[in-house]
Amino acid sequence: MTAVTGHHHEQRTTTGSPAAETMRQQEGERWPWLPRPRGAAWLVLRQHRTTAWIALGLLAALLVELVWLRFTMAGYIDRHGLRDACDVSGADCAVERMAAVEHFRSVYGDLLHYSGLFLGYLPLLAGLFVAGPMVARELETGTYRMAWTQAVSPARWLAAKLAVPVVAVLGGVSLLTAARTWAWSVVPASLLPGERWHSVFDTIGPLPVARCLLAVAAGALVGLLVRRTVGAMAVTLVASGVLEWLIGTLRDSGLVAPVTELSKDMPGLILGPGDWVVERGLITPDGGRVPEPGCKVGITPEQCVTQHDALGWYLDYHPASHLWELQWAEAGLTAAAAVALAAAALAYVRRAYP
Amino acid sequence: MTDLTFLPDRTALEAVGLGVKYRRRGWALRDCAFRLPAGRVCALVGPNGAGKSTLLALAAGLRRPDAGRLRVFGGEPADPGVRPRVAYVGQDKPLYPSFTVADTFRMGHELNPGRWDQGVAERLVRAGDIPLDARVGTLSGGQRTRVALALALGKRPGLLLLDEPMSDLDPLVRHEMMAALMAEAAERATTVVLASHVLTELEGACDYLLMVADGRVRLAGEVEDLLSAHRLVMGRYEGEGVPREFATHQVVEARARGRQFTALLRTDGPVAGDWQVSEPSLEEMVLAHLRAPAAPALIAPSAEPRPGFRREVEAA
Repeated sequence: MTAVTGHHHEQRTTTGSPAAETMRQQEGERWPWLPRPRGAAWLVLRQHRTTAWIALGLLAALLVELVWLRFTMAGYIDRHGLRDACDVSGADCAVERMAAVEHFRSVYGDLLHYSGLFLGYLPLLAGLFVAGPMVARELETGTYRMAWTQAVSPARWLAAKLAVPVVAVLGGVSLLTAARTWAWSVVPASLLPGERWHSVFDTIGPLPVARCLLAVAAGALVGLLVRRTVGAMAVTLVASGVLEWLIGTLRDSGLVAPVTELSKDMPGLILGPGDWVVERGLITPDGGRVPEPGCKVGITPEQCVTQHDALGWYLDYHPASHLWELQWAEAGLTAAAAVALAAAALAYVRRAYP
Repeated sequence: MTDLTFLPDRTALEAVGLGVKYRRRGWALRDCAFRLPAGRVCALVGPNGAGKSTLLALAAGLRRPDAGRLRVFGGEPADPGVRPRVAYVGQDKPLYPSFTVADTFRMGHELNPGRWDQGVAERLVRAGDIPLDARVGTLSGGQRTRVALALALGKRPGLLLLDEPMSDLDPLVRHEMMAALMAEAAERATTVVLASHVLTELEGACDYLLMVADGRVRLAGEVEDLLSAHRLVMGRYEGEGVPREFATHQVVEARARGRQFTALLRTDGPVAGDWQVSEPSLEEMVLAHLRAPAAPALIAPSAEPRPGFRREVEAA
């Protein structure tokens, strides 16, 4: 049987056994320029063929939508002179401009918001999928024994289970977040208060890609350890929450140093529209900090200061200029965590199985 | 066994001090030592929970032993040079239900680069009238077994491990499939280890026997050698205990039904007295050992692990 290895079409055109013929037909002669997945990667893609097509369709639709949104929003903003939007509640807003702002918010604002919601929950979806249907289900139903008793070791099997979603994330989510960031950046900050940079921080820039990578790695590790489809998905749900909280805490504990403002009077928690408040509190005479002092209801800020023998207030915040520095720092941290968890999953498989 | 398929210098499986411990059930295999020469068709028998499936999982590279060592063709079961040469069909025959038969074979082709034989696999499913575009999930149990066996044989393995593969087939199909399997195995001198409860299906098909009970090896060796070491003795006997003539032999199992007395002996020379003596069938020998768990193990010389390997494991 020589033709079985003949997936290079140009080499073997003469051996015409029926078995080889079926094999060649399966290989698919359409789009010969397209790189074809081989080995374990082929298996992973074939197993999740339906999901892959749905994801691809969704990606295409969202990309088209976001590009259209960008051009439509830019046109609308220019036509109605909304580049420096007025505050709708303010008195300086002309009536017809107010109507235009309202219209913009209810139509384009919502569309932009939904794309953000999707990107925000995409990491969780990816994590659940890898943990449950991709990894744990094989261990639960026993099909892993069929895969591992071909010429593929457990470690290579897991590597394929990691590599396929990672490539999908690097390709698909990168495009998606780039398109959303591009569409988002055309909107002036004051026009859509819900789309200020600190409100949409998780759904623009490189961060969605890093968060998806972390979810894939965490999902694989959980799937391996829990070995039950539903259980693994439940644990992944909890683990995503914990990881989110951990990384948020690390970010706020000074991943990028915030700007600190000192004042005698208590500062408001909302500064300029572009500022992201991290922490407010009291400064004591020895230079110590009391974050969010618990002063009871009915006590004035002034009384609160004297109660704590404090000198005054401090406020840590990120101005809008910190956006990209903060984005790349958190994305880097998240990606590093993803690499660590993926390495842990591979190490576990190597240790637990031959 | 013909001279062509007899490969005395090669060892398919070899174990010394082999043990597997489960967290709840304790030791599933303990201190197992045996050797299976390459090219043999070996029956792996034993009661339920004796450790047959565990032993096959070790050989297939699905789990690691907790004690001792098992070598497949002289290497670790998980070695990149060994894993491609071993095929395994598990008890529940796991296959991807959403795959068609053709997809399943395509997987065999993708995961066994350079080894996959599409013709062998297709021949086996064609003989069972299974269309290649049928979804595995829609097939009957027997058809799924056929696909699982085809996937295993398509890999062209040097060692084929089968864990109760025919249990859900009707006798006619079982017979036909066994014949197909043995023909493929004989053609390539494939070593086969066949775990089974159906002792009659092993008779005639297997030339080697490995019997495990309670996690230990009880019998190992050429079926012929093992059978000729035993004698089935029948006759009338009314005395207490075991007849005195048996003192020079080892009594594996003795049963009295009324005045009719039957015993399986490991004989040392001819049996004296007025007894009807015959060589037992494979089934009779195995059943007697299953009923007598206290009988000492018998490992034929060809089934002894080589001293070099034993020393190597003990030194480690």
